[in-house]
Amino acid sequence: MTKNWKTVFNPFERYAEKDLAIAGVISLLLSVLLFWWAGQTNDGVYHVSPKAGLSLTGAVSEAVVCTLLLCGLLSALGKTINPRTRIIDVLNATLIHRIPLTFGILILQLPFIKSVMDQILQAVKNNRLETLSGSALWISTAVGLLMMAFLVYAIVLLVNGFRTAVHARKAIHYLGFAAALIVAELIYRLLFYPQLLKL
Amino acid sequence: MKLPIYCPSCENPLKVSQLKCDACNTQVNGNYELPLYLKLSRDEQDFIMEFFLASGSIKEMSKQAGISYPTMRNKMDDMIEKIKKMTSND
Repeated sequence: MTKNWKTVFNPFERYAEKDLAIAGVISLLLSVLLFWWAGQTNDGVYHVSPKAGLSLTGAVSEAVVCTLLLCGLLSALGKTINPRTRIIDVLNATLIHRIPLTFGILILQLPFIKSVMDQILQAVKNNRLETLSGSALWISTAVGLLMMAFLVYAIVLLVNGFRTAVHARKAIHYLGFAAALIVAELIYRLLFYPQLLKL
Repeated sequence: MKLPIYCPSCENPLKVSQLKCDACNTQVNGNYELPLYLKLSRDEQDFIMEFFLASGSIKEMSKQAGISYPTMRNKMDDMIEKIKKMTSND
């Protein structure tokens, strides 16, 4: 793999922690504004739903809690695997990996995609799926695949960031990583999100 | 000239069997182990030298190499592990 492609999939190998942290914090702030403007709520660490009237405080809290929860769990795992793991490296991986996810939400706000999504939601609501046009189905399939690609890219970034920060080499380390993501999703949905809904 | 450390024929580690004084032509024969540092590859020897010249600062080394701190630290950990294995095998 060329150096440039390697950087696309693992920027943590090349860039200094300060540059990554700046990029991560800026992207987090932009994602907060985007979620607030688009009325999208993080009802799971890796799940987004529309929510009318989402407050800015709510959007900020969701983004911060998602990031810190994932970072906390991965840092604890990282310190167990390699005591020399630095929290800043894990935090950077957690922040940077959200960029493709945010980009995905931005694409969903494009007017022609939004109108197709509205058509599908309306058809599902009225139980009239047969009324959907062929183009609407093609667009929704393409968007679905694109969102899947963004999710895969985000996970690849997180895995590479974690691997670089922790120096993970064994299969058990990656099993722990997968378990941490599942635990983060469960904790967020069951404990934190019900509280965040009140904001 | 690059010092060979493995036998080109059977790939086992080589030993020093002769040393020579260039001034008086005295030759010493024996069966000496190569020092640990010389048993490392050229890249690994360069890495250790760079670490020494950077006053033992991984941060400084990573800056000079244009890679991140954890990547450099991981490289260092791999080398420490390799040297520990080599010394425990001796």
